[in-house]
Amino acid sequence: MSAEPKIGDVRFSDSGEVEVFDGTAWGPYRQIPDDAGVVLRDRTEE
Amino acid sequence: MGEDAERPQASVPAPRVPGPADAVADMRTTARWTIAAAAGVGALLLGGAPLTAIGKISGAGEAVLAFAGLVVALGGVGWAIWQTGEALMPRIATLDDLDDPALADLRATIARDPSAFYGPFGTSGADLRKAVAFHGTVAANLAVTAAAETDPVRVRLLDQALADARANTEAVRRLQDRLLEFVLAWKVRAAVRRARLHTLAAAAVIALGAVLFLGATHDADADRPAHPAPSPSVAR
Repeated sequence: MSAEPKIGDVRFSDSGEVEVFDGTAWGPYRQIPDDAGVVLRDRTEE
Repeated sequence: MGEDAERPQASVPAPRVPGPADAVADMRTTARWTIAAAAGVGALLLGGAPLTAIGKISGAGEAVLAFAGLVVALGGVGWAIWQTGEALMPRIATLDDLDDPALADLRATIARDPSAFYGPFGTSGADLRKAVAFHGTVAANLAVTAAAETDPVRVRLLDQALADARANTEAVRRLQDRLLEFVLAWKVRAAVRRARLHTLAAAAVIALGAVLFLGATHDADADRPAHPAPSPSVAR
């Protein structure tokens, strides 16, 4: 009997890669590039 | 030239970018100055006007009028200080406050470029919350799995994944914190703007009180000449 995976569960795939369950499917886990940028300048745009 | 180009550049710290927290401090300084100015007007009204005009009041009617004018003017000063002081009150900001009607323009700004505020982690505050929980859970599970793993190759893979999970958690927390700072800054901005309108209205009330007071203490006799001027006559 296998328990249902929960969000955030980790496992090794058959190919030996670390996989994470995101709530819908298992997939490889990587660092997400954070390229967001917002600057509060002296004047705000109206 | 080639040598210089290949030599690694000394790391220069990036200039600090003004953030929403700086804006909050600036706006609160503005509010403090407004309060100081209103208090100055109040001190002038209380300290100067009554002393110079007290001798010009004659009769109970004028005394009542002068008193009423002073009360109205000082009431206006108190009103301005009270309302501006509201902008200095501590505020709690949550991501749910983003739905506040007073933050409509912040919502519009975010809607124009959601990725600038939410990064790659979604399009709403709820998405940021879920992302914090998800990556935090992944990091915790990876740490537990790595602790129980004996295969050195797998341990290395888990360590790498754990570093990624921690970086993701940190990134999404940073975005969440910055969004909260924006929400707080916009709440303070709304309070300062509201205080400005109240201060404007209070200025009108202060002017009304001053007119009443000056009207009551106006020395009508001083305007009249002591002796009537002789009627002009033209002699030819």
